[in-house]
Amino acid sequence: MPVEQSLREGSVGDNLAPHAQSSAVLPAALRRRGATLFYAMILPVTAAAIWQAVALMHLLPPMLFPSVGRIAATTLDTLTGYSGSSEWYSGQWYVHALASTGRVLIGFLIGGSLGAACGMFVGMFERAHKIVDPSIQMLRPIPVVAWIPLAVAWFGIGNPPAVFLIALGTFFPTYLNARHGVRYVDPVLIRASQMLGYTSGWERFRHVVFWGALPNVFTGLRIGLGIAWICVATAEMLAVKSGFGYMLWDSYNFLRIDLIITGMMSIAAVGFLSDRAMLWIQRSVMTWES
Amino acid sequence: MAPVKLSCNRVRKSFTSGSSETLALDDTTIDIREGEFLCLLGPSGCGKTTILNLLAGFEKPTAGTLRLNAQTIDGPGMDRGVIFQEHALFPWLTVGDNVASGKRVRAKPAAERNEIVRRYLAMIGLSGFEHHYPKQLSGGMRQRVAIARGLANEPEVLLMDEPFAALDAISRSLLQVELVRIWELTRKTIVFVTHNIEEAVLLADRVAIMTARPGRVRETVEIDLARPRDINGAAFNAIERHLRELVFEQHAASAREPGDIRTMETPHQ
Repeated sequence: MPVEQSLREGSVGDNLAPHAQSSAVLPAALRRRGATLFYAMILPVTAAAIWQAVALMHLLPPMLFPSVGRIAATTLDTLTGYSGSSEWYSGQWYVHALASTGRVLIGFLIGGSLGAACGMFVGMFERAHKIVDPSIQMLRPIPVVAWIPLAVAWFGIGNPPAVFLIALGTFFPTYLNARHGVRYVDPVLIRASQMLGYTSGWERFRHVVFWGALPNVFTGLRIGLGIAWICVATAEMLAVKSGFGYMLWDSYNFLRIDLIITGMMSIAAVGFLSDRAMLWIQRSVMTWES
Repeated sequence: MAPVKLSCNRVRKSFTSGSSETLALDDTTIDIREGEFLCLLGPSGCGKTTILNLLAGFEKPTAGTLRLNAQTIDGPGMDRGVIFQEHALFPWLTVGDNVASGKRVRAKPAAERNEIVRRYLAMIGLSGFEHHYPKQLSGGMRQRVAIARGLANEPEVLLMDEPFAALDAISRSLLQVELVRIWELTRKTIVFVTHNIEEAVLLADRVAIMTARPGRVRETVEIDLARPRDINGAAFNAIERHLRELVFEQHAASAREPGDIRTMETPHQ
């Protein structure tokens, strides 16, 4: 990462020799990353401070508004099991993280690949667009939560309804962005490919449209992955008995607010990490963009 | 005299948008000979890009025929390389891969392909840039790569649509000189669209002067000057002045003829 950043920095001033100063710039790049982290932490630290102040005012009983220290201790216990304070979640963080991540991954792969494939297909063929797009646009406004009763009725309690909901949530943004990307590929690039000899529809797709649409496909996948995390939490509250969503809801039933916060922060952290991973994949595929 | 390479015969092209029909090109006839460097000169909106798009096969004529080697043109093909106003390079391919992106080049074995890339990059003065992406190049460099890409696929003719119009004055001058050099090297038939009178005189064997609304080729002028041409020379200036007068005259003439301003409104049905 630092190397990549310094490369970009080096190419700003001098297009002819982008590699020339990469090693000299490295410490500066590290300093910049430190600064980025510093700025990003200002708001969370402030929020924690305000939280702690409110907790100390005892407007609500500590059980309903636990202190920052209490939440931290509970979180640490779910991770390490050092005190047993999080009861049956003690040291179980990884089990639930794995359950949620696994569902997200499978649902995302199904929904994302279907969405990208359908979006590209519909974007390529006007007739398919006319037939398929209106129906998809009609289904799209139905919130994923509204599918839960149907999903549970059909698939029962367990992984299948959760994966179904996640795939559904991932499908729509991926479909929309892929479709858009294909339809709005720069027409001059298509003409360029035609004069270079690629005149059939398949050649057009393989040599121009696919690559031209790729940035949009990735945008769709990133949005889809974010929605997948929203869906997994929702699904786990109602349709499965493991994962962060289940942990949240179960903790609510026992009024363990500290554990609820732990669950929420866990979703945030893992969701953030998965987005970074997606970004990394995008950058490694679309090397021409960086 | 060299045989006719490209021809437009009584070509007419109109565009319909909604209920209004615009006649972009009317009754245009022109022959371009093999190895000739022809400039289409005219103000913007005179239909010169339309002629080029018809020759490239990107658009179909409303009436009349266009031919390449006496064969009717009915779509784009790699016998006609096109250089666009914007470079139109594939941003996801490196400079080298862009140069080698033509179908003919890709069909060749890797060693030969690399040799082609090396040769054409040397020709445009960009050796050593094959691993750069278009994004990392200046406008002038990108346009050079576009020319190399066009040439590498071995087209019979090169159709250039104001390729230097978006460049700064210095880059434009440099590329003009280079284009003449490349043309003398390859002797491709070139159709070059421009609205710049000096550029036309500098580059062309023959200049076709177009009038606007509807576009027509009214007159063609042979540029009988030895290359390299000196844009400050007396002969050059005389021809440039002559062309400028012709352009003005025809502009005035077409403005006087009300029948020629033919943006036809058809009534709603």
